[in-house]
Amino acid sequence: MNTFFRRLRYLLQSSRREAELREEIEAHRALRQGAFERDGLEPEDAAHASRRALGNVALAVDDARDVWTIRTVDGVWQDVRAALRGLRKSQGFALVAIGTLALGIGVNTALFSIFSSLILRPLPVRDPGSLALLTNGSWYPCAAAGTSRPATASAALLSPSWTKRSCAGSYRASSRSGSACVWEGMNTRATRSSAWSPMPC
Amino acid sequence: MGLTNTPSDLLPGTLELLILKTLMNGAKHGYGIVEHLRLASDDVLRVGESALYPALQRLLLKGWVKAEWGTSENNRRARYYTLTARGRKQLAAERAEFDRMVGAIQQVLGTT
Repeated sequence: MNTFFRRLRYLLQSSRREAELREEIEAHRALRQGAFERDGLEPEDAAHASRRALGNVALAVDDARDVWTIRTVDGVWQDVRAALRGLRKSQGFALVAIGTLALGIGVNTALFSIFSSLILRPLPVRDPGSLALLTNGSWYPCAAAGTSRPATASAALLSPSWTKRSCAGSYRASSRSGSACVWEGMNTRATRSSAWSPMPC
Repeated sequence: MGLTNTPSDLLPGTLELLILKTLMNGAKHGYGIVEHLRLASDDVLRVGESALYPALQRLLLKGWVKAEWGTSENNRRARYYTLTARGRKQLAAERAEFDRMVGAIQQVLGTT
C-alpha cells in the first residue's frame, strides 16, 4: 500500500522528480570529472572523459521512470492529461459537453428515483401483499395514502393484522373491527367508521 | 567485468543488495556508492549510472532507502541516500538469500 502511495506521489510530481534525477546525474558527472582532474587530466579532457564514462543519461532517466510507472497507468495518465489540455483549449465545447452530461445524468437519476420508489420498492410494512385500500369513494394512489394527507383523509391502507395496541404508520386499519387509523395532520387517530369499505390495493 | 551498465552483468537483485550494504556505513550520494563498490571490489565492480540510478529508484520505491539533498565535497547539490529501518531488515534477508543462491551455484559447479 505504501508502494502505491509512493508511486502516486511520483506520478503527481513526475516532471520535478525527473529534473532532480537529471541534476543528480550531472552532479555525479561533475564528481567524476573532479576525480579525473585529480588523476592529472586537463579540465577539458576530464570533462570529455567524464561524459564518455557517464553512458546514456536519457536511457537512465527512462529506466528510472519505468521503475515508478506501471506502463498502462502511465498511458492512462498521459491520456487524461491530453484530454484536459484539449478541453482547456476549447472551453465552450467543454462547457457544453459537461453541461449535457450533467443534465442527462441528473434527469436520469431523478426519473429512476421516482420510478423506483413508486413501482419497484415494496411498501415499508410487513407483508405488503395483505394491505387493502380503504376509501370513501374517491380513489387515491396507494403510495400517497401513507404520506401527506389533508385532515379530511378519504383513503387509507388497511392491514388485517392491525390490532388496537398499535397504530404505527398511521395508515393501518382493521377491516374486521371496522375501525381505521387515519392520517390527520401530524397526528394519528383511530376512528370507527362504517362508511369505509376495504378494497384491494 | 567492465562497466556494469546493464543489470544482466550481475545476478538479478545483486546491485540492490550491494547498494544496501554500501549504505550500511552511512549516507552516500550516487558517485560515492559507485566509488565504494569499485574500491571495495578491487576495481572489479564498475557500476554505470544507467544501472545505478534505476536501481536506486527501485530502492526508493520499495522504501528501503530515502534520499535527501545535501552538499557534496565539491560544493554541489547532491542527493544523499540513507538506509531506512526496513532497508536494514531487507539487507539481512537478501544477504541470507544471496548466500543460499551462491552456495547452490557452487554446489552445482562442484558436481562432476
